[in-house]
Amino acid sequence: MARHDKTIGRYVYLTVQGIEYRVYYESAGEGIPLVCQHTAGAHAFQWRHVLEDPEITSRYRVIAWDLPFHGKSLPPVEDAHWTRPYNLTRAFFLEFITAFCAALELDQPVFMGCSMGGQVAVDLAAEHPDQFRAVIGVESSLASPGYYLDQWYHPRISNEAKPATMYSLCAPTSPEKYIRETIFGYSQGAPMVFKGDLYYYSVDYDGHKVVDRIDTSRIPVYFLTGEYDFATSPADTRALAARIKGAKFQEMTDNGHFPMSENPVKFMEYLRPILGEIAAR
Amino acid sequence: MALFDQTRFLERVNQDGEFQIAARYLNGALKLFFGEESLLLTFRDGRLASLVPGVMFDSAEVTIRGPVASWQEFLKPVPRPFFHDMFAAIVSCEFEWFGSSETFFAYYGAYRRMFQLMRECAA
Repeated sequence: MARHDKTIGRYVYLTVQGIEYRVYYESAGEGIPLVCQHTAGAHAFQWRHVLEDPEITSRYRVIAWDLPFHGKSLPPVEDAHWTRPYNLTRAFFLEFITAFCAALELDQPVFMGCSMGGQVAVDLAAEHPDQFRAVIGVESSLASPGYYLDQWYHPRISNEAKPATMYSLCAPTSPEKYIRETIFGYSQGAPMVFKGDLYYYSVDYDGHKVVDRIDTSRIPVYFLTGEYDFATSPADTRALAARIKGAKFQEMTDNGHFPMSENPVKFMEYLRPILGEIAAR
Repeated sequence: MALFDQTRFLERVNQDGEFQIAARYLNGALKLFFGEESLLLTFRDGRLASLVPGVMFDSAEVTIRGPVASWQEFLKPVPRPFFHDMFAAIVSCEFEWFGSSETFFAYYGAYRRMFQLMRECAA
């Protein structure tokens, strides 16, 4: 008899900024919805260990999507997207996430995102506090300027450069097999997508403009950052958390920028208590 | 200067499967400064052909420079955060690089693996 993973994949049609997208997502478990946003240039594979965690899926319905242009979410067929640069904007990102949650009729989901997903956790807490039960920002900061660079999308530099440098963001103490899985995911992205995502991460996102509006009595805010993450260092996240009264921050040992995929066992040690706290509210 | 065993390093790099894949078609030189002292690493068709002390007028596509103390931290089996990888160390520590962006990024995977092997050959 075949051994199946419990995760199920499906497609949902969403209209965002007037364009219809066929969006792939994976889900597992029952209970409080927990929606998960992958990092720039990646896709839902990064959350597979959370989707496969029996303790989490006994209380949470975990959902991880591939943003349009990522993974199995193809570009829209009714739009001439190839005639202009791909750039992920804050407006699109926020509308996509809220449209996705509305389409699946999710009742106050918990939002968890890493890197650009960690930044959008901050934007969601500021802009849509009543639509989410809590946000968990993984590798979040107030800003991350300087990463929207030509070398991430240049005809003379292959897609190999991205996984090679993403290896740099992993902790030397993370299991090699999971580091390799993490960077393999980075070799799968369409050439323009990583740089385009960094438009949001490094240009369009500015936590300074929104942190003062976040009210943690309306939406609990949690932050987790790996000790070896030099793109969004623990000091960066500490500075962000200090600007949001009531926000909780923990530095994760033995982890880098991709904790859920590079060292999932260690990541769960930090994530499970947060999910327990949210479930008990 | 004996931060790592250079003979063993040369052998390890050229025997390493991951390096051989990442360094395919690599030709040219990489110059490494350990404080004031330097090494010139020359690559031929994806192999590390030679490793010799640098001199003033060396020509190299890419140069990486760092203080000796930073190299010593970098070459530890488990360095402290941000010394764990050359790209991380360049972004966050006292290392710097200059030269061809095309070569640096196209072959960062080869350089990264090479530095891992250098760490394994550290004194």
